[in-house]
Amino acid sequence: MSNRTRAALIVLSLLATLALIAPWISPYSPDFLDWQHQASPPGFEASHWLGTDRLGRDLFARGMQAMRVSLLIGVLASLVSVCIGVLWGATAGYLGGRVDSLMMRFVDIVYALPYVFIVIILSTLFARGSIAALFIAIGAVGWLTMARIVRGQTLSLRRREFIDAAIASGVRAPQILWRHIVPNVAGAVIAYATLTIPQMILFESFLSFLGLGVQEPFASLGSLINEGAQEMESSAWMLLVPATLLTVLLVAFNLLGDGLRASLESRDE
Amino acid sequence: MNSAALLVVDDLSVTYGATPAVASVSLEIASGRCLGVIGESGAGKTQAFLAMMGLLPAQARVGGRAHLEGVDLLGSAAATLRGQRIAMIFQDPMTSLTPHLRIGDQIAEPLVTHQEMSWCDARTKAAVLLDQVRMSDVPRRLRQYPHELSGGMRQRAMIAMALACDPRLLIADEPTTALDVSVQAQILALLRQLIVERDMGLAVVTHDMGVIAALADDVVVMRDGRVLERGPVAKILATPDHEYTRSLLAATPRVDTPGPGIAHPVERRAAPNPLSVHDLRVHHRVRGGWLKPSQELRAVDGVSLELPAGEALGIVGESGCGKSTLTRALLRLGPVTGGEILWLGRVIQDLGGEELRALRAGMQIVFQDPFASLDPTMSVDEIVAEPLRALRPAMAAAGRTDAVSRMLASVGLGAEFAQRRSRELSGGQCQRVAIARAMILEPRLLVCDEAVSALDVSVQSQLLELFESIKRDHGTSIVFVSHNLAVVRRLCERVVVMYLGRVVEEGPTEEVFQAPRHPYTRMLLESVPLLDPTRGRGRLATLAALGETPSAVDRPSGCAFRTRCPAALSTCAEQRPEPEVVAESHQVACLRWRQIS
Repeated sequence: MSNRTRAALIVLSLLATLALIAPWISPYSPDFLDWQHQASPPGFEASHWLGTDRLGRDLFARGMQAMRVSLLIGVLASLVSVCIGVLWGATAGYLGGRVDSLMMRFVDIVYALPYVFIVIILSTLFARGSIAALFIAIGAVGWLTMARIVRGQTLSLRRREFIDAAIASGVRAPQILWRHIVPNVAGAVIAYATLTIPQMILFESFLSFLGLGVQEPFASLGSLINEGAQEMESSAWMLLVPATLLTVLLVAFNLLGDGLRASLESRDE
Repeated sequence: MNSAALLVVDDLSVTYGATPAVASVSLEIASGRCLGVIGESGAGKTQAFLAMMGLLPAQARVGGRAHLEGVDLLGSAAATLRGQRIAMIFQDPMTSLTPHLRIGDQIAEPLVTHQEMSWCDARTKAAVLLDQVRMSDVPRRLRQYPHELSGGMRQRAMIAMALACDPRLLIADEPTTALDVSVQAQILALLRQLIVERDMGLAVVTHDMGVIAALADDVVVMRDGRVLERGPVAKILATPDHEYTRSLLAATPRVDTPGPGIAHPVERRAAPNPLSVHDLRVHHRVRGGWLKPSQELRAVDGVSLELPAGEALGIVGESGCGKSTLTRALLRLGPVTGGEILWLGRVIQDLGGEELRALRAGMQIVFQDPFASLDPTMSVDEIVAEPLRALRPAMAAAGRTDAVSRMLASVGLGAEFAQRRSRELSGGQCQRVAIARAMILEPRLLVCDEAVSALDVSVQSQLLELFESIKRDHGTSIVFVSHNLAVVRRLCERVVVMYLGRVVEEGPTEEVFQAPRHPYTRMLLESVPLLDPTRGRGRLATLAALGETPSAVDRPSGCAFRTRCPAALSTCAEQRPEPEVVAESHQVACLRWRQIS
């Protein structure tokens, strides 16, 4: 593991811990309106360490809550996309032939649909701002690339002799998928999933920035950035705080994923 | 020290960190002579020569001295020598040639860069070089890409490239290991001629005693990075001093002596044969390119076999003869186009699903590549237990553990191996695990697809003993597919010789090896280098004109072998030879076998 990967891992665990314990260290709750300190800049007076927004809500408490939401959505959506993607890709790659063509053409078609439309359609079906709708929307897009990656890996595994040996030993196809294919693609899947999490977080923030995602009184980094952008000229910290959190989070996840992928590739050689 | 020596290596060592790969190796090569370096994997033989070529990775530390005609090969002046005074050819000619460059340009390139020739002169020289390595149809070859050439032609092209700058020393690292035996014979004969013609030195690095016997004048035996023994080839092969050399020679199976595994001609039992195959065909459609129609590739084209219980049947033939396709079809791992497979009296070629799965307990397979045939994520005991889980689901976990440890012990692996994974095992140990997995269901048929071909001779010899005991003690029938005729002679009661998807000769192993009837069988047997330099070399030189197996897509009409057959007549092109009985249970498919025997 390189120093960069290790640093990314440390930063991520620090941020995640901070987000989780924030309710106990912050003197304010995220939806408390402090009428005395509206739009006050960061500082230690009155314990608004990262300042407050236009309504006097504490930005530290709000930012940490937003990070919890972003992390939760990122991790859960990646999990969902890993499950669907691995199942879909491994099945297509293992069965091959016509089944493979049909399954992968379906992936191509979904890829071709503009995903913002899907999200808008979905958000009209569900209650506005429902987290379930967000999951479905993000998961529907996220698994496509995973399925392609897993299918490619499965195709090359399929030609290895241990798969033939398993068939000759009378192992049934679902067992071969579960016991031989999935464990052997796990490395690539973990590395890629680590790279999927920041994509999901970014995607969620983007939707929330557009107002399609998490709704008040909840916050996500995207909606905070949206609010901050409106006050950018008078109170820059309202934009800078969530934007910095998002950037650090994304960079750390990307470095970690790259590191995992590099160590995976060197192991294969 | 010999003053005429071309290459003098003194106390050469290569170390990686604290691990020595080569320790204090000294050797000499005179011009016009060939030095054979023999050893099993991990002997450091390749490392030593890569060090002289300056091709080792950066973390390797090289010590000692190596001089080529007085110039230090390990010093800073060496870079100018490489590719000019000293050249190297490798095992796999496909990976050593650049895929997107035409053969002519690839050979011309070093001439342009090293000798500042014009491209035009360099191409002319390339044609001359290809001619010198006895390439057929040179003008066409110059314009072809590497993938359009056969393995033997690629190796010739590699040799031509290596010879481009008139090197004084040629290093050949396992030059024929990836080649078919008849092509190997041609390349060995070519290398032998080239040393004499060009008065250059040749160092050949190999694991194969046969190659040493065919090519080398002097021999160096290496193990664990050290030279154990050196001497003239006749002495090393006949009366070696070192224990290790003796054991290597003893482990090398010989094509000219019968194997100990075949005790007597087995009495035919009254019971019907467990496996019989009638007129089996496996055809594939090969997609044509743009505007080209698709073609039919007949990988297996009408093969019939009988396999009695407790016997080993050898299937031999060169690459592309359909032997692997045949075994995959037998086990229903691959497609079957037509014909009939009878297994224990049942027709199985159309079975599928659960019926087929239930039959699999009786027929198992061991593959060639020991590492690829084990799942890297599973431990040894999980791998061996897998067939039990799949086909004996009623078995209790304790009974399964018990059976696995007994099976591992019987293939010579102790209890300490149970928790290991394939990357922690050697090639031979992996292959033992694969055999344990195949044998745990006590199958009546074991198919070995080149199962010992990737292993060192000493390991190969141990595994052959294991197969012999499986045959003897369990009464398991074995189908043993191999390109190595000597191994087949050691293990198998009967042998089937295949050429381009058809059986050309079939009979008791001893009869076929002592009195081959089909000209292809003869050619195969004559191509195997004998462990006797005086007898072997003349043989190889006479063989050199026999070409290579054509592609199965454009199979010659009539008798497929006629394009390479020294006895072919015009009738051979018109009539497809049918199997004729030579003696009891010995058949040959040749129109002219009576005239030529």
